[in-house]
Amino acid sequence: MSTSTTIYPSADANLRENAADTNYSGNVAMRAGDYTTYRRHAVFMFDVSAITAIADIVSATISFTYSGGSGTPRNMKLARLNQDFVQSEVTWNEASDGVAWTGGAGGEGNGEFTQPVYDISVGFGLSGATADIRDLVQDAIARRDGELWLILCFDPDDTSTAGARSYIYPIEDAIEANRPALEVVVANRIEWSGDIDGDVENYRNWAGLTAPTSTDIALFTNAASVTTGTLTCWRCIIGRTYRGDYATIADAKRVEIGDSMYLASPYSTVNVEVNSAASNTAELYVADTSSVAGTASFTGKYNAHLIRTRQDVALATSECSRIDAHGSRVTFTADSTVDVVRITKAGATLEDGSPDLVVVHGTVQVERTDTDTELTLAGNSVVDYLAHTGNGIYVYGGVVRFTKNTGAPVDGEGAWVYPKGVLDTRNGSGTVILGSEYIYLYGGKLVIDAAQNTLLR
Amino acid sequence: MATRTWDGSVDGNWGTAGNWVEDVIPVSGDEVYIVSGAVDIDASDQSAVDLDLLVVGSQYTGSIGSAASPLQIGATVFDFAGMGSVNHFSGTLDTVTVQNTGTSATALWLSESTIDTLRILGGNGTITIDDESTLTSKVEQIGATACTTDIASDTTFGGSCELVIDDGVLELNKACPTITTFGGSLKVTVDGTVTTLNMYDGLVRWTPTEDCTITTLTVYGGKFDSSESTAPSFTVTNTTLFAGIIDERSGLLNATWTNSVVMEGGQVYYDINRKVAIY
Repeated sequence: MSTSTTIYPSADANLRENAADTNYSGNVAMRAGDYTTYRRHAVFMFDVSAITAIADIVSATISFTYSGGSGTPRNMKLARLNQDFVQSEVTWNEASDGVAWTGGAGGEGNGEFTQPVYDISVGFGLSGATADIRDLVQDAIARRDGELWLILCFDPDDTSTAGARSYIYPIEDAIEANRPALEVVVANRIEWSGDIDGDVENYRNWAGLTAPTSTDIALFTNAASVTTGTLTCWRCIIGRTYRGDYATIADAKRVEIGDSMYLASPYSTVNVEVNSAASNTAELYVADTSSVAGTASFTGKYNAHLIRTRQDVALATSECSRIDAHGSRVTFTADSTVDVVRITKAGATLEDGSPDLVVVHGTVQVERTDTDTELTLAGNSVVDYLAHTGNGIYVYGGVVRFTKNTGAPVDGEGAWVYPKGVLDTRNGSGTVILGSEYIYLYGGKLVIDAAQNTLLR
Repeated sequence: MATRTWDGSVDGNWGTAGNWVEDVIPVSGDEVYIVSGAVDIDASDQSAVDLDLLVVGSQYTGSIGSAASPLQIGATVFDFAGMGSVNHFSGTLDTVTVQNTGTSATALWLSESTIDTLRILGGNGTITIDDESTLTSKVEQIGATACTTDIASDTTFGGSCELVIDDGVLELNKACPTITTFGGSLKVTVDGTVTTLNMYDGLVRWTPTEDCTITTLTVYGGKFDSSESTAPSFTVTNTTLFAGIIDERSGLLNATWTNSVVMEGGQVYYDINRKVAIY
């Protein structure tokens, strides 16, 4: 089971613009928001140094409880503070006695708004607010000696003066549950043993006789195959040493993942349905596969990151929004339209194109599309274009071939050919016209069927 | 709209009617061809003239204008392939396409110009954009293997301007909002913010001397090299490395990587004395 640790602030305080040299700490409430003629901010410090497993942090949920508030709710921003403060001395003007805020009064100039920032709503009718600030907790552990300094303020670009504020219980509140708190959940790494059978839902198949939960990491490193059950976990790792199979070619198994799935085994058959029940999109990383054809396939809600494959990975992509395939040892097939595809050096078959496809030094077959494909081609790429329509073809380099295209006609929104590019529209039928727009030739080569004519302008 | 063709049969003065085949000086809306001969064309203030088309062809080997006094003229389309050693222009030139140039350092010089699209497809010398020129929408250097382009620090880029390079050398001394590299060598010495830098291949020599920022750097391939940077500090806010190389070994520890460098492959050459947390 994952572990959950609740951390309370080591320091907190309130900053008040119209009492800019007054320290507001230790009060019954920290007022944060806009009072129409002045603002109030809140600052916090959490010591997260006790958390060491940075990579395994599932969530870090900060929570504020409000004792009241007024005004139509507005969003404040919770940002990392890049200057320390002293709780008993901090004011609107100074972080500590004699030390001004280096980014200007109010402290928001010391908020790191290029790092992740989080919306915290304040105003009437709100009982509190929460945000998952995992990125900032990881940053604090890795780079700030475990010290996480935060400021709650408005976005520097938010110039509204609409009144909205909430009254946040401070760390001094007698009721622990009211205090600002940071709940950090760290995943447990649980190894698959498969000692009993191939059922991932059977707890006796897991080391320690505990099956993973949605906040754990499932590890596969042995030789026991998975044959049945739905695995629920935060992250699933099929390691390089795993020699079992995860499901069979004919029968995919479901994996419900909060974060990501890694496949690095060169031995296993893996046939997985990712997040068919979960609403979130998982990140799917493929670092290696078996070399046996047809033994690596995925379906469901995921973004694919293909780093190395030893065979053509079959991706069912009806719910996949992005594929990144980079490296000369990557090949894959996508069976339906994918919103964004980036390919460098890899090989691919896109059975239903992509509205945003970039191929650099790659070899790709784009088949007929229901949605228009916009293709950008560069380097030494080769694209076999089988689609019957398109939304533009930019050939900076490489070759686009229509040889196997059976469309009649093959239409599209034009093409742009540059000096190192070749647009070869020959399919022997003279049906490639790309007629909705011109073909713009900035150099390169345009090759057309013998029976076709061109009009130059 | 009329066609006017330069023959330079009288002298080098643009404003001499006899220098044009039709014996008429070009006016706004005309299409002008300078496509043969070697007669230099003197500097001339034709800034009130806005041509539909200005073509300088590859068989014209003369020079046009000078560094002190460019030919001031506007054109909706400006196609350049002239082989002269000195070519200086200034004006509002909506679409500039460079197919070829001579080999000199002053092969094509555009100063105080407003250019919507600059498309460089060839050339053997240096193309310079300077003297507070404006590049509005797009800069493309595609297939221009032997060309060097120099964009000066006083250039203004449009807010959504995109620069794309796949070959040749381009020296960028002013931050362009969006940059995509498919190849070539891009030397960047800027003090502003590059919002998006996507690298698919090629070399980016990141050599700032002052504070500057890349908001999002994505390296799909090629090499991002900041080892020659001398700025006390520069910032890369968000970084993803899919493949290729990031080399930050300037010896100055001057790169601030604001957020985690997300690595899915590739290599990072770290500066000496870095501490790296992996997670």
